[in-house]
Amino acid sequence: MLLVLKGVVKHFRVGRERQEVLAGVNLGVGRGEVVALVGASGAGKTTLLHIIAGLLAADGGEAFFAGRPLALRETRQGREQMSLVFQDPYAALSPHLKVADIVGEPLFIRRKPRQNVARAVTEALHAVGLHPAEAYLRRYPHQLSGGQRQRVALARALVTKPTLLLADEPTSMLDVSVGVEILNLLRSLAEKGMSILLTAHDLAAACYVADRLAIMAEGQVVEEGPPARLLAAPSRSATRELLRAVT
Amino acid sequence: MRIEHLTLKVSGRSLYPLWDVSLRVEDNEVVAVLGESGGGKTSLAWAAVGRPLPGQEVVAGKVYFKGRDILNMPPAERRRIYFKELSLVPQNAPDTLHPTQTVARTLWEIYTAKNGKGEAREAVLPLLEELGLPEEVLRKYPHQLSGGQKQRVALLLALLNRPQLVVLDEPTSALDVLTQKKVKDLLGKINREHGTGILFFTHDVSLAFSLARRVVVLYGGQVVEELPAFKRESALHPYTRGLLASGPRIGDPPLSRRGIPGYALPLLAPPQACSFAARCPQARDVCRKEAPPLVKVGEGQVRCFAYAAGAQRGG
Amino acid sequence: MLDYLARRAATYLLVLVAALLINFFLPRALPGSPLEDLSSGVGSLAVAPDPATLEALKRYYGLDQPLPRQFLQYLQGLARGDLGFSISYKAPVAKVIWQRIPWTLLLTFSAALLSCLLAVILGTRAALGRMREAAVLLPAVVLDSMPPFVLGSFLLIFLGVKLALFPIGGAYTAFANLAGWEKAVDVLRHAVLPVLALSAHGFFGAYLLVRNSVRLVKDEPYVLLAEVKGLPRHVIHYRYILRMALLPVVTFFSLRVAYALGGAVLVEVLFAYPGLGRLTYEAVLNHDYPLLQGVFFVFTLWVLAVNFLTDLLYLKLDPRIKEV
Repeated sequence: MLLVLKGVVKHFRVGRERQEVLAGVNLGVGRGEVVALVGASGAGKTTLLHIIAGLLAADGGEAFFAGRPLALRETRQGREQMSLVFQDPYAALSPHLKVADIVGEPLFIRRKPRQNVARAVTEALHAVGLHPAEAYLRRYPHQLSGGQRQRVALARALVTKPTLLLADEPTSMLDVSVGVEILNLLRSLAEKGMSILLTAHDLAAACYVADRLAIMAEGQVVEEGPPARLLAAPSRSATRELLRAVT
Repeated sequence: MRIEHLTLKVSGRSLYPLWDVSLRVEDNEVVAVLGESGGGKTSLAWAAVGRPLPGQEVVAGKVYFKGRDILNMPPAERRRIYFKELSLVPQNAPDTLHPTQTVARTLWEIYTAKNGKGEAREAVLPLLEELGLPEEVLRKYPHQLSGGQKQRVALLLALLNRPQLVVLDEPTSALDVLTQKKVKDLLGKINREHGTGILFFTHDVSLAFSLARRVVVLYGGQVVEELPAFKRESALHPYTRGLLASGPRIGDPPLSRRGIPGYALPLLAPPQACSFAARCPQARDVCRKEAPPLVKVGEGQVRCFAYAAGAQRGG
Repeated sequence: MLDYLARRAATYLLVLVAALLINFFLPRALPGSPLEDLSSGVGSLAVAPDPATLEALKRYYGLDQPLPRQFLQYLQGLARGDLGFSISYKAPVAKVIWQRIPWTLLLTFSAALLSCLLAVILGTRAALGRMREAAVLLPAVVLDSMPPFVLGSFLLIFLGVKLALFPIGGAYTAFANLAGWEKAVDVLRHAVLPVLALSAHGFFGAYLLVRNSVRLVKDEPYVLLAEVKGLPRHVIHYRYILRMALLPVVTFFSLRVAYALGGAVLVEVLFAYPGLGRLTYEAVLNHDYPLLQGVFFVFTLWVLAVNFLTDLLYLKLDPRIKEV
């Protein structure tokens, strides 16, 4: 297993009340595996992803990454070997930066030499299907379509050559005819050895792309397994409910 | 409702969100307008209720609601119809609630404006239950609700006075699957039980074909196909077929689906070619040189040269 | 909500302490001393009190003590509500200031109200396309770029002296012994010119604020939907557009009221208006430390109080704030 989570807990304060968003999550992601977190809104999918990415600190539980303990604290620079792609490709890219700078930024932050950055950016753009890369380098986000933006966001995530890609609802803001190509892209990245953990509220999309589903409800992973097995014999009511909603 | 040859233009620019769009909704009918971003759905939704979006103007065409021209109706009369006979649930519904008014107040306001004094509560409570909203939602301000709850409050607002027709723009896209299902079931139910006509705009292929009786496909500001929902599998237009083929369904093996390459371009001038030609796998020379007409085929209509052979010159 | 108020109150307390320090030490950093003026009257023959008298006076006012000690005494006085004794007025500072406050309140509130009210009416009309903006813009820019005392001088010369429409100075007619309505009219007539001078400045800012705010709000999704909800037009106008558009104007108004005191100094001097502004001017000229301290202290309280009231008002107007 590349990533192992044990009993991850997270509370949020809403006014005076303390809400338990994650109530002890256990989850593993293997090397080269695509795992989809599926559940209704409020189940804690996005919070979990943000904790793994280091955007939020966990209130309890432990984690291991590539065999070493991983402190679930907030880290300003993000974690080595992990990248996060956000849901909204319209909001996630800064409007006044060119594609080359957006994609290269994670490397600039890590003080990589300039010519290496340029090469890595071109490679990353190729990897997400934006070729020739030269045609995109000098464009601004508003000059791109929604699908192209999400590809740029993915390229930015891939430029640091992470071993684990985290993606929060990567297709829910996109048109179906464009979103499915992003799913295909994620799948082919996985075939090349990338591990991917994504969230999805659309069960069909999750089944399409993932090797394993983890159904989340009320802050816990209530059931997990390969899509075919899970859908053929769902054992939890949360899973059955999700299944009913799409069929 | 009948929309006839409606063309919208962005004021001061040569940009047409809609070009020569016609469609009708019979009494008690459920019609879906299916399309993706840039297709003109939101522009059409607002123009259909007689109030084009700010910055857009009607250059040609009419919209009739119950036989009356709603675009050129005196404002006072239009106000009487709104949310009493004809309601709109816009796409960004969560942002359409008054930010400093409680939900109860916003509901009460629309109830009394239409019915004079009266027990708004009795009209609200059953709808709350059907939408799966707890009663304390009433005492809250919009910022205290989740996006899904706000979406449902907007829906409740539109249905409160039992209109004859509701126009909904992306009624489920902001919701998670479970709530989507609830909203879909509710729309079906009010159509069956109260005879409310529904015109909804969506990018969700399965929602369009499962809820509506007729589906109108919008691409690049034009109607490219219209077909009865049960004819889903025999859609003709390459765009419709591309859409149907691209959404993954449960049981599909990975990488088995293909999207539609490219993206939709805005309509900058009167169409002089097929708007889909650049993305179309079957495009021929004629598709790039002439605008295809909308022709009747079987029980539907399609705008594509592949089917226009007989009607091309005459139509 | 109580949390929020407690946090605000703590901030205000901190500001108050800082202001007290500055108020105390700043006048004492000015060159010269209050007793110097006693010994060299401006434009009059120098009267030189003998050193023994000066020493006695210094002792009397506590000026012979080291500064930290003077500060401590000042604080002790404040705690008792004693702002000290004015050297030039030979009266308790609190009493001198108290007499002046109503006049300044009259001027600043009327001026802020007038400029905001006009700004709301004109700004809304311009934003909704009911009025051509050019008619407002040019005069507003000219008036706004003029300091209040320059505009005041013009008003004084044309409306006051040449046309003699309004009295040119003071807050009421001296020795007239008017009462009731007549007195009220008399006071208002005296206030017209200074209020005009004060309100013109800042009107342009308020106008732009209202216009832009209404422009933004009128295309907000909830306003667009309100139109398609078929609500009566006045409901959309007042409850949906104006109510939301005027939230930032509340801040603007309170800032105008809070900082109008600064602008009031020169205008009050110009119109010989017996308010706090002119008092400040006199206190500075006379090196009257206790009075200056007192005036600044009142200014500080004023600004803080206005801000606090604004915070409270916002809590009422915009429920979204409570969550922050």
